[in-house]
Amino acid sequence: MTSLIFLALLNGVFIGLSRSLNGQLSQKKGPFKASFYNHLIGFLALSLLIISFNHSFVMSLPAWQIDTWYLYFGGLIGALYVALNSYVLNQLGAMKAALLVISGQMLTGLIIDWGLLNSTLNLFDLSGLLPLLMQISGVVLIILGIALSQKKPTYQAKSILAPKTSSH
Amino acid sequence: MSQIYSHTALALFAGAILAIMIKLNSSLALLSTPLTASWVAHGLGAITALIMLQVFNLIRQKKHKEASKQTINKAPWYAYLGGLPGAFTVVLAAITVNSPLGLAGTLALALLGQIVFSLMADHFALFASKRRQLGWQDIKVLSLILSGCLFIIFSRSIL
Repeated sequence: MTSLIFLALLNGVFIGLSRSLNGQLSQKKGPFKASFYNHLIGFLALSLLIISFNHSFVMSLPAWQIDTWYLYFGGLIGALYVALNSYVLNQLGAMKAALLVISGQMLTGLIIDWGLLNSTLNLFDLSGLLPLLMQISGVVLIILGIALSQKKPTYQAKSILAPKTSSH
Repeated sequence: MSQIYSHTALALFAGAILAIMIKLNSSLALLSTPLTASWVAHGLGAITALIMLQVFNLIRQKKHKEASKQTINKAPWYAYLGGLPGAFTVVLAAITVNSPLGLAGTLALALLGQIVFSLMADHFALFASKRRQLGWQDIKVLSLILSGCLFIIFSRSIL
């Protein structure tokens, strides 16, 4: 279990590392080139993994059918996403960008879920009420956080982690 | 000031399309495998990014002639490798989602790892970023958004 927790945390670190590296490349080469190299290197790395695991990948892909064709748009959206993220990361800083991207992701994920479940919500069914209450309070907390992030502090922001270095 | 708002809007929009992307990719992964779905998405993403770059360059060249200015700037070799940790997240997520941690645990811990990493990157000005030190307001924003996310993540595992 400890190693699983470590792997899950490492997943998050890798997401952050990937975004920061793309941000750094974007500073010099622009967000679209950063997005291109991100996808190219990822594609090559995954190709190596697939070959080394002897993964029967082509067989398992769904054909270009009327009801599955749009699933391939994930990659197209990904290209725009990496470009946008690389740009805002340099403007807002890694943490603020990460928090805002996560906020947008969570709120949209919830809308997708609500839309897909299209459940006729029974308010008298208590088993469905607790998750709904949690989701609504989650939305409220996130929106409060976004709103607060837009407020400029009236005082000079002091560092909590290293107050001494700010005098330099 | 209005620039800060537009960057915020862009970041939120990036998160929104990320959620749609994840939904599409995980649906594709259900029909094949997570590795295959990510491989296809990266391949199509590379082609799409190349097309977007060409379109962007065409528009920019019309505006000013010095379009090659950015290509003179050299980036360190490792900055090109952002796709590497990105590709490995697919493998890591595939392991932890199908474990006792489940989807909720995977998401929550990935969130934590991401926050800790970005805090370090800002604080120590890693990856050629500006040094941004944590203030009280950042901590308030962080706690609000993090607790909101955890509520949403764990509401799904109760359902």
